[in-house]
Formats: sequence, structure tokens, C-alpha cells
Amino acid sequence: MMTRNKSTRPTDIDYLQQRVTYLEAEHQRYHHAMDVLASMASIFGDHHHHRDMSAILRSTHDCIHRILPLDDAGYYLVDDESSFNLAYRQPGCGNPDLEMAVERLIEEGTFAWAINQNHPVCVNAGPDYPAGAHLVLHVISTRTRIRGMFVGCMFGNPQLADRTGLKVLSIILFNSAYALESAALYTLREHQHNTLRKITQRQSRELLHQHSHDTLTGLPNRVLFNDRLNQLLQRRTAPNIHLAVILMDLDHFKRVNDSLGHRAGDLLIRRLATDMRNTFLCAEEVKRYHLDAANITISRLGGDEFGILLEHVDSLDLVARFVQQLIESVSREHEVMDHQVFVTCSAGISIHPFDGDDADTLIKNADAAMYEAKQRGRNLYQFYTQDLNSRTYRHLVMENQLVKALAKDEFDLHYQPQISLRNGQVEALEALVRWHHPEKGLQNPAHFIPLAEDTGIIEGLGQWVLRRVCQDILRLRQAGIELPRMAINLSARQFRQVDLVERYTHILSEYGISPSHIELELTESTIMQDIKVAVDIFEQLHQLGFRLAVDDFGTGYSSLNNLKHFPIHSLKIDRSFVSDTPHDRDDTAIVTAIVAMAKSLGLEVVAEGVENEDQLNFLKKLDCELIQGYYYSKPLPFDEVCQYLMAPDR
Amino acid sequence: MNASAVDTILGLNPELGTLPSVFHRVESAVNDPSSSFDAISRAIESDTTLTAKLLRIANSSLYNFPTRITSIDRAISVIGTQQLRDQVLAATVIRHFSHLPVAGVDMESFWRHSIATALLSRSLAGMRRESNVERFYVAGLLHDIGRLLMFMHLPQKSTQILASRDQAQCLLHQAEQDILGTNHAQVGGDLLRAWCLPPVFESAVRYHHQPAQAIEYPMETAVVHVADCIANALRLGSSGERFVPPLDDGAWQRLALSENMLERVIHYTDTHYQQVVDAFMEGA
Repeated sequence: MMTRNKSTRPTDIDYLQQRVTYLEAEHQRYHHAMDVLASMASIFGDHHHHRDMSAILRSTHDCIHRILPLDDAGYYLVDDESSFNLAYRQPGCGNPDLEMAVERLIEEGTFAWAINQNHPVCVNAGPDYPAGAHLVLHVISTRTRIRGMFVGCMFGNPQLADRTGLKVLSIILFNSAYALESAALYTLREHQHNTLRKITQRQSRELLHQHSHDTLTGLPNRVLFNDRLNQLLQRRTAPNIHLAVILMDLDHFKRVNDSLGHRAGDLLIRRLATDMRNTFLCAEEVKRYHLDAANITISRLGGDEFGILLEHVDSLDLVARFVQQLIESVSREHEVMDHQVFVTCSAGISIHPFDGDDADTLIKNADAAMYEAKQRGRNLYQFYTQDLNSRTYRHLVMENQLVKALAKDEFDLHYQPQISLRNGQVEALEALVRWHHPEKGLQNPAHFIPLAEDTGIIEGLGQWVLRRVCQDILRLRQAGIELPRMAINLSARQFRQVDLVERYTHILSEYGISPSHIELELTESTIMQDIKVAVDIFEQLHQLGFRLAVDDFGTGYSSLNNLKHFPIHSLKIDRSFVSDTPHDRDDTAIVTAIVAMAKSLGLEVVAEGVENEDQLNFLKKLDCELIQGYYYSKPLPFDEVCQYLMAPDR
Repeated sequence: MNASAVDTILGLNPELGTLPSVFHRVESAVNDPSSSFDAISRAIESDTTLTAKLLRIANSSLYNFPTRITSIDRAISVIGTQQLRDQVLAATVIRHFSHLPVAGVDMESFWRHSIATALLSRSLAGMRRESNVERFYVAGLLHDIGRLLMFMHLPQKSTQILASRDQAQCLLHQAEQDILGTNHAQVGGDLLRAWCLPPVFESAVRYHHQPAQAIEYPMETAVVHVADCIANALRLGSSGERFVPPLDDGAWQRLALSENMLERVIHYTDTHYQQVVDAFMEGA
């Protein structure tokens, strides 16, 4: 412009001098602006210390202050609710004027208007400021997002005073907006990173938990059980600190699964696990055993087997009390899917350091002790003893002796009468086998029947029993005694014998005895093991004229609904229920229910184990037909039972 | 026709070679170190028509300032010195040409197209959050100024060019190239250089059909190029072009705007178009 119009412009020396001075000053300002711009990188929070907003705004202000002579400056940042908050103020400036002026600008709309301009907006500072003061508003914005507003205060109109400065202001604030944005993104990323890390950690923990815990019960599994045991053994410091390894498993758990299904079995296991956890991981409870809940590990090893570790046990007595309570808490009636299930359990215990120095030995020995507990009649616990190691040997000896016992005629039969409550007559005699052991004397069936069953000797023994009963029937006839029914127990293994029916009819025909004199007693569990086969065999036996009875009724889980398909004549209520009547409310209710249900199905009921008058009167009231028990008579040898039958009044 | 041909036209029509004196007075006041803030205001206010036009623009929906702007002083404070200088330039150029008789050209349609392109340029720049959107506005307004020069001073060639366009069904600037060996963009660029306007305007005008060649001001040129395409597509007035010039991919990518921004850009243009047309055209 100047060059083209030079002929029309003043050309005197003063003007040119003025012009040169101005251009030199302008030149210097440009240089200064370039320096400021070159130093602008400091705004960016490359280091995590600089990623906070106020550090970025401080660096921004340092740059801006170098190119604009500001009396005051405030940096407002927009928050998530779209309101603007003062985030940084020029150092040394604290009076409320600036904020009041901004309030006013917001009210009149100038502030909102300035947000949408990408250049400095100069407005009169207003009544709170001396005349001539101006406010410079400049949005702090990236190309896509508004992050805040710069408000600077200066005297004179900056629009004219320093156009270079205002241009540089735009550039600095533009960069500042990106620095703020990148800081926000870094923060967001860090936040997400942390969230992600937390999720990963949680999932790792869950995976670890799944690896070491049983999914059904949430208890530690065998992996963790072994791991803990190994750790405890390694950590062992003093020799007088004892560690108990307890293995516990349910007696006849298979029956629950077989009769009610696996779902019911799972529910029962889960219920037991919850009970155990509530009982034995409760600080109050375990105090009784001088233990701390942290010293107890309860785990499910698989199936119906649980493993328990007790650290720092004070005495074996406390361990015994602990296990006793464990068995008592498990061995009771449980409700599973609307069925009442009676559960018992057996436990074996091994103690470190007595019974082993390593995990494998301790577990193996606890297992041996548990097996022994089962052999000894279940529903009890057994400490491991060195003696148990010879069990296999003892079994072999006993098995040998059992086989020989048959040949050597060491077995004998005792009879226990069943008395009719209607007429006081002996309605039946139950044949019970006894073993006269050459060294140990008279043996209880509980000691040798399981072994006989395991080894198959029971089959030969069963035939011997039937022959003996037949012989005794003939002897009673000869003596002219009125013949009661003869009740014979049939074990599960016998029941599954393929030629059972033929063999038994053959023996009876040998002696010329009608099957109607014989009552075969089968336990509930024997029947329930395979209902289809049982129905078939029952049908055959029934056709031949045998009477059929269900023994130990109430201990299994069969419903009467199942039994009604069987051609049975009588139910024998298990002694365990009868013995607590009429004082135990539960047992009384159970017996009452069984009698009532049996009657409704037209079955005869035999109460076993009646020992006193109270029980008798209770059963009389229920109109129970038959009574068996010590109240009338214990099992008697044949000769004595003959006398009993002949006695005129009982 | 070549660059010297523009000189020839200007030599024959000296009034074309200079912008109205008011623009130069404003320009001097802005650049003069000895002039005060008031000097710029006084330079503008000496031209009452211009003052009225500027205040009308300043109070239009284009700025949408919350309170009424009643003086040039205030307009400078709020809109900015350079921005107002650019508005002065826009107003004076339009007035400058509207005083000249042009035969066979629909002047109103020409300016409508120019204003539409100006608003689109301003809007695109705003979307990019450029700091001085008026610069884009003026570049858009002047982009086809060369065509005006051709219509006024080369009427016979112009008739020939229009006929050639109709016959070949091609773009007008291609017909110009065929017949004149140059085109309106080059002519416009030469004119702005003759006027000694800042080089950014010359670049945007000269290369608005070849944006890739604008080395010094690629963004301004790209914005005007895209705005011209949109304005032709919207048929908001016409500078003689029948077809929509093809969009240059590189220019569009340089803008770095998403396609859904276009709707907002067009809405913005629709909103302000009539007010700006009225402000400039009425009593021009």
C-alpha cells in the first residue's frame, strides 16, 4: 500500500524515522513472539507430573504473560456439566473483580458468544474496573472440543495495542487446549488401564479359585487340600505342634444318588458343606476346641469325601471331640428335594507327627482309619493305629477262618420271637446266625457278615441257614409244637444270585416244607439297588408262596410309593427308631407315620428292638401287630426257643 | 489472454486498478503506528453508507452478538480489527463493481453465488475453528472476480466462451482455457495482485480450481475450492457455471471434516444467506 501510494503520502524525514522506529519495534516483537512460540512445547504434559490441569495452565500462562501485558488473568475450564470453573489465576491476583466481571459476561450472553469465536474478543471491563480497562476473552478449544475460556484484563484496547500478541494468544491457547485434551485422555487411559487391571486381577483370582476349589460347594478341593497340607508340614517348627488330618465320608451315599437322583445327591453334599462351614469355621464354635478358624481347612476331596486339616491342636482329646461333633452334625435327618434323608458318616484321623511325616502317608493312614471305622459298623470315627496296617493280613486270616467255619460247622442259629399284640402268641421266629470262633468265642454278625458278603461266602452261608431252619422246623413238628413262621435274612449279594429261587425251592422240597412257612427279610437298600430286578424276583418268590418282609425300614430312602409295587407282606421298623420312642419326638413321629402308612397299604408291621413297657404301650396305641425285642426275648438257641414256645404263659 | 492482458485492461480502465479510497484509508489507519484506535473508526465513519452496511453486517445473524453493536468502535472490539478490515474490503469491492455497467450478465445471480461461496467458506473455516474466519469469507466472495472482469471487458470472447460451453457441455473454466488460453481464476488472481491485496486472497482466487498448486496458502485455497463446489451444487446464484466443478480429493481431505458436517455447513449458509444478500445488495 505504502509503495504504490508514496506520491500521495508525506515523505518528510520525520515520518520515515517514525516509520523505521515502528517497523524495528514490530520486528522485535515478531522475534519475541517467535521465541515464545518456540518455547511453547513446555505446555505439553509429556511427563506424568505435567498431566494435571493446573500445571498445563501455569505453563500456558507463562507463555501468554511474555507476550501480553496482563493485569490479571483467569483460566476457566468446562466440566462434565458444561459449567465453567476458574481453574487457574494469574499469580498475585486474588480480588473478586475478575470473577464478578465474568459472571456479568455470562449473564449478558457475551461469554457464550465468545465461546463460538476463535479469535480474541475484547470487551469493556465494566463498572468494577477503572475506565479504559478491557477484558480479552478467548476460547480454549481444540478443533473438536471446547475445554475452557481465557479471560485476561488489560488497560487500553488490546485489539489495537498488540495485534501480534493477540495472534500469538490464539496459537498458544489452541495448543493449550490440545495439551489439556491429551492430559484428559491420558487420565482416561490410566483410569481404563486401572479398571482393566482390576478386572484382570479379579479374573486371575477367580481362575485360581476355580483351580483350587470345588465348584459344587465352594470349598477347597483336593489340589488345595494337598497343597495346604504340604505347606503346613514344611512350616512345622516345633515338634510338639500337632496336625490332624481327618477324612470323612458318608455311609452309603450311593443310595441317595440311586434312589433320589444325582441332583438330590449334589444338593445334599452342598447342604452338608454349608453346615460344616457354618459350624466349624465359626470363631465362637471352634474356640471350644482351642482352635482358631484360620487353623481349620475344610475341603471336599470328591464325591462324598471330605478332608479336614486342624493345625496347632492341643490334644488328641480335642481332636476326638471335634470329630465327634462333626459326625453328629452330619449324621442326622436332612431334607433334600422334599425327601427326608438319613445320613450317617464315618471318619478316619491321622496325626502328624505320630502317623506320618509327609502328606501322602498322612492321607493314606487317615484313609485306612476311615475304612476301619466303616468296617466297625459305620457312623463312627477311628484314629489311625499301627495295627491298622496289618488289616489286610487280618482280613485274609478271617476270610480263611470263615470258609473253614462252614466246613467245621462253627455256625449256629439263634431265634428271636415276634409276638402278636392281639393274642400274645409267637407269630414268627427270626433266624439269626452266630459264629463260634475257635479262639475268640461267639462272634457278632456285624463282625463277619460284611466280610462274608464281600468275599461271597455269604452265598454258602445262606444255604446253610436255610437247611438249618428246615431241620429245625422238622424238629419242632416232631416235638408237637405249633409251628410259627420262620424269618430268614437275605443279603444283597444273595438276592442277586442268579439261581436264588431254584436253590431255595430245591432245598425246601428236599425237606418237604412249604415256602409259606418261610418269610424272607430284605433290607430296604437291597431292594432299592435295582428296583426292576427286585420286582421280578419278588414276583417269582411270591408265586412260590414265600412271605416277604422289608427289614430295617426307615434307614434307606425308599418311599412307600415304590414299595406298593412289591408283593410284600410286612414292614419291619428299624430298631434305631423304636429305641427312642416314645420320648424322642422325631422318632415317635416317624414310627407313627410308618405304621399308619403301612396299614393304609395293608401291610403287617413289625417293631424291632422293643425293650421296655413304654415302647410297648406306645406301639400298642398305634395298633402295631408284631413286636420283636428284648422286652419279650433276646435271640435264643434252638433248645431254649423250644422251651419258650412251650411255656404256658408269658 | 495472459497476465499482461490484465495490465492492458487495467491500463484502459484505470478506475478498475484501484479500490475505492475508503478502503485505503482504513488500511492505512490499521497499519499506521501513529494512528490511534479512533483513527480506524473515523476512516470508516467518513463513509456513511459503508458504516451503515458494516453495522448491519455486525448486527446480522452472521455474528449474532448478544447486545446491539451501535458503533464502529464497538464492532472493532468485538469482531476484531483484521476481521472488520476484511469486511470493509468485501463491502467496497461489491460496491465498486456494482457501480459499473455490465451487459449480458445477471449481476445479482453472480453476487448471490459469490456470497453463498463466501458464507460456505466462512462456515467451513468455523468448523475447523480457524481463528480469522473473515479471511475465508472475503476469499470466497472474490473467488470468481476474474469472470466479472472478463464479462465486462471481453464481451465478444465471453459470448464465444458461453457458446463453446453449451456446445461441448463442458465446464465454463475449461471453455475459457480453450478459447483464451487462461481462465477466470488466473485473471482474478492477477487483478488482486494489481490491487496489492494480501497474498492469501490472490492464492485462494488463483488456485480455486487447482487447489493442489496453492503452496503458500493451501488451507484457504482448499476451503474456497470446496465451498465453490457446494455453492454450485446448491444453485445459490451462478457465475455462469452450469455444472458442479469436480471436487478435489486432496482439498477435501485437507479440511479434515467429516461428511456429516456438511449438513451443518449448509444449514449455517441457509440461515445467513438472505441477511447478507440484503445487507450487500440493497442500495448497493
